[in-house]
Amino acid sequence: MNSNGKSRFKRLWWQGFNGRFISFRWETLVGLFNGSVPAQYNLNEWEAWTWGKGLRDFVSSTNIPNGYTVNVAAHSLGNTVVGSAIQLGMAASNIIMLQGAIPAGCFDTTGGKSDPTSINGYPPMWNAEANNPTPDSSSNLGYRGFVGTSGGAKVFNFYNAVDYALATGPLNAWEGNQEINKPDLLRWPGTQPAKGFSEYTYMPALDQSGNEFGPNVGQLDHYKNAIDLGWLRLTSTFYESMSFVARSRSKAAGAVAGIQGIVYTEVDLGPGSPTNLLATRADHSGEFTRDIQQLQSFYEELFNIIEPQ
Amino acid sequence: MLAGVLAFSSLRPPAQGAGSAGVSSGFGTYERWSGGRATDLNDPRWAVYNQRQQTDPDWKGKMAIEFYGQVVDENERPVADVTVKFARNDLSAAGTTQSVALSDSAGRFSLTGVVGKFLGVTVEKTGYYSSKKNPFGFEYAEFSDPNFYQPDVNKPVIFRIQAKGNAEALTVRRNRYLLRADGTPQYVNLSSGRKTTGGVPTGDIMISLNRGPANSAGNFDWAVTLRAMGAGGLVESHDEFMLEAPKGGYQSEIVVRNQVGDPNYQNNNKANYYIRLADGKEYASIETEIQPKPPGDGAIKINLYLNPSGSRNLEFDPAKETHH
Repeated sequence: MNSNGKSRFKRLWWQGFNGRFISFRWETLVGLFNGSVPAQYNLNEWEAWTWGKGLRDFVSSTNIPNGYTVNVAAHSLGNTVVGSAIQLGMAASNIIMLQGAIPAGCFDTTGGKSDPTSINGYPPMWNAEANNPTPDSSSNLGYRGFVGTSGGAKVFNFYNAVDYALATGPLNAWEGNQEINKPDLLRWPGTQPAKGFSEYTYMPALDQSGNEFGPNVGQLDHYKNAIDLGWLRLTSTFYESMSFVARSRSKAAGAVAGIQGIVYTEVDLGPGSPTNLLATRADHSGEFTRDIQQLQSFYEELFNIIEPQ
Repeated sequence: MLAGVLAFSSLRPPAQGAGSAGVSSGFGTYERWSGGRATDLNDPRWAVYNQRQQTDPDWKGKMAIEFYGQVVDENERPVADVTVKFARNDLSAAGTTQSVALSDSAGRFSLTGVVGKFLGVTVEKTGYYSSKKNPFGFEYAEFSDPNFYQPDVNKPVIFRIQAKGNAEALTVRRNRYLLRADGTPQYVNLSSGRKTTGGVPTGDIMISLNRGPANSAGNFDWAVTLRAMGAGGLVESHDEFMLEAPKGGYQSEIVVRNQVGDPNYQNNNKANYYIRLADGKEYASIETEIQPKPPGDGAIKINLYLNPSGSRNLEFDPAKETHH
């Protein structure tokens, strides 16, 4: 169990939690965030989507004894693992999303370009689309509506509208990555293509007569390999398309209020809330790294979801 | 009921462009945008925005920051010597640079001559509460953002604080109670926090939820009844600081109702109440959030601040909190 998991377990225990606690980890390839090694966020998003099956299978396995209520809590990109598992039919009672690094549009399909106040009408994303179009709806291998059912689970969205990593950080945090690195050109100096992914570019799909498919179908469903410029491969899977090609039309779920769809209710973690996480980098993980004296209401909230009266 | 939890290790903050962290690209500070917030994609500033995205990936952290504020008390009087904490997200190694200022005799303060993308501002003074409704975040790079801020020295941002009174030892309790959607009464004893379902009426408050079937959009008619038991009563409050329960004006029952088609339809509800307990002698304030949505049961969150002495004084000081 990593330190965040240990902190969460310890702090829940002090609230009265006496159930089983399991920490689920998955492969990531994050480099140092000091500029010396590319972070390759999109590659890690792909890993996260891919690991959803492992989580779903674990939850449905005999590792979870009969009669237990299953509560799944995830932080940041962990919510993409959980989103993937939900989409694959994971059975849980409660899903607790903490500062989720996953598009709000995955859960809520409402709105769009013409309504900048709507979930899927976030102007910086649509501005980026004007210059570099990408798929939108899940029917076209985009994000919107990809996680449309919760399988009977209640989904709680804990958000901080000024979260550093998701919204207000100056160096192309989650939002900036969506704007700049979709589709992913893997433009970082010295980066070697990993796991066969490299340089996605827009190439309209053509039908047998050489005509483009409709306005949505086929957009950006090819990528060009950076090493062998003559080799083209159709991007045909959700996980690859969402991670490397598709741009969100919304803010991250962990940085926005008012998500509908499968979200049951939301909890504000931001400034002025009882938890009062601010806009610093450290507060992206503040529920684990802050002193427990500052987090009483947060862990009570968490405990009350897991064990309501 | 036993519960299991699966926890996930978090990733570090999402990607930053390589070579950009804490490194100046050689471009200078960018002047603040002229004009107010705009979400229109035809706004001419987008062309400049896009050019910067191409030529200087760090540009958002280099915006000139200028901020003007003023602190006033509950009587709109300026307050001097208030500690103002600034935290601006910038290109420093830590990602955030913090600084502190004091308000002057007119309650005014400012921050100029620095750069960054986003500025957080908090105010505090010994002997005062800071309003939780105070503005916090001010965005300088994203002109479409709801927090986008245009500084004006003649129109300072107002921050409110309120003088503390005499806080007493309060019992504080935060609970979440499940509500069956078929109207089954749930009885809550606020002193103990315990709930009983159906049966003989007991406790301080009866709560019930009636929920209709969901339509294709997932909306549904719903109503929650809050009924005070015994000699108790309820009165809704819109005060931010619920410092003293009123002498009178209590109702025996409050119904929160939402019907599909109502222009202000909501599938949840947050409200605050003063409550006189069933014994007619004790007073409390409660913050409630009703969560009626399916699947399964609905729920109500109740944060309770109870003065067990019988006083109507409900001013809360965490240092004097007696019980969770």
